[in-house]
Amino acid sequence: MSESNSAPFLLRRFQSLLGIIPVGAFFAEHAFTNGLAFFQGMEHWDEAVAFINGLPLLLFMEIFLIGVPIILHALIGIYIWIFCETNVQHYGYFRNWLYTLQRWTGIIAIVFIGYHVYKLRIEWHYTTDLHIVNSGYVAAYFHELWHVIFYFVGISAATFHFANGLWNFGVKWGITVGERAQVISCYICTAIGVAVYVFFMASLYAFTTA
Amino acid sequence: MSSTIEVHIKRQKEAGKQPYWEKFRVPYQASMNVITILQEIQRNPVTTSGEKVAPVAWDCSCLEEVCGACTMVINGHVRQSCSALVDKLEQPIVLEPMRKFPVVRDLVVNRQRMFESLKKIQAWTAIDGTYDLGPAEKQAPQHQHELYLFARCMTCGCCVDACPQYTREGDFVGPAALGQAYLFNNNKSARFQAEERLNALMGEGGIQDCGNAQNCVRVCPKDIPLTRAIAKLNGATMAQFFKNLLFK
Ligand code: SF4
Ligand code: SF4
Ligand code: FES
Repeated sequence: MSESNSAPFLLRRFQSLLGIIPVGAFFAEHAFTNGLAFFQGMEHWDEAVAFINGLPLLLFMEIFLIGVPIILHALIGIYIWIFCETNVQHYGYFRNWLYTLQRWTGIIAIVFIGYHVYKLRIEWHYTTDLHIVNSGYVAAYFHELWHVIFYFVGISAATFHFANGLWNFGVKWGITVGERAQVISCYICTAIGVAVYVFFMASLYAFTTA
Repeated sequence: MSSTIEVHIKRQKEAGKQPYWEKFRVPYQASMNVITILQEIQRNPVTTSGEKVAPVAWDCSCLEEVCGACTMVINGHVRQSCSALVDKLEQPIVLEPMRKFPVVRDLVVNRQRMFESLKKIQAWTAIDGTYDLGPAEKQAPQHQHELYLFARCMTCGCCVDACPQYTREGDFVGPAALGQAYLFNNNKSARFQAEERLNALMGEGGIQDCGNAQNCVRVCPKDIPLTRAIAKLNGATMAQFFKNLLFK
């Protein structure tokens, strides 16, 4: 047998792995930190942000452990999308809907993350003399209604993409094989998704009412 | 039940030509299926507007849902026309050729690509050699039972037709071939080519093209647990990948 080429396989598994580690892990961590704003109060959120900003090599980590993986995950994801033909109009099965939504929510998430990072991570470096972002700045950001709506839509899409991606990961790596295992993992992933969603939405509430 | 049935058929004169629609009305008979409708149209190929046209071409063979030859898209859903009972179908009945294969004429398609996929994954037991390979090893009835599910595949193509990842232009081998790879990799005699199959499944059009939409398992008329095979092969290809990486 000739040397087989496993590059296509590697590319797809790499994409799926990136979605979990580090992107998904960071997403969950982000939900947790944001949730502090609601569950513990703004001071704790500010403290957590200050702590994160005190981490060594922060910019390096942000670029290479978060930024680059997200971009790679997105680019390979779009490349994969080009070659499929969604068909929920013919086969409206639950899994087929999730499959289709996984693609659309991915796109929404990319747009959301791009703008979000620009507005809340980059812009204030140049327009203010803040050293680190603070809750007051974020609360002001959410004074604009469309920022609230944008956040709501973006987080909804990203959370779905995250939870469903987690489920997919189990199948793609041959962990959840049987039908029952896949149903149970669906419940677990839904629970994780709901938890993350609650944290993000609670923080949105905290910031808009601050 | 009305005494006639209205049928809309997506037709095509030959490969590469523009498809067009024609409507027919055929007399209703008890326990009719889609094949009997097509036979009726063949007998009297006159459209609802009274025009005499060339009879509609279709394929069939076993008439008991075991050969897969009569597969087409019926009311938007891919299935066998011999087992599609008119009494259970909404009217008008809409017939289209399968969506993912080149049309030969009317409802007849060319499913050669499915056989090419089976070749890619060596969907057979290699018995040719210079000496007698002897009888196969014994297997547990439970094992045999589990594998038999996959042996019922008739290469009808329903699964690939409904798979969003299987496209006309693409090279994905599709769920049927994945099911067969699983079958042969676990067959006591065919498993000796397991590594070659797994390696083939990591190449272009391999298992990574599956996007987990799981339509395949929903439309398979033989209820073959395709997604289970895919998930198992996912694990097996991953293991093979690391084996190649570390030991080769
Ligand atoms: S797996 Fe099922 S749907 Fe696919 S070709 Fe075989 S019998 Fe048909
Ligand atoms: S599970 Fe995979 S092979 Fe089956 S329909 Fe979905 S994408 Fe296609
Ligand atoms: S004619 Fe064989 S499956 Fe319908």
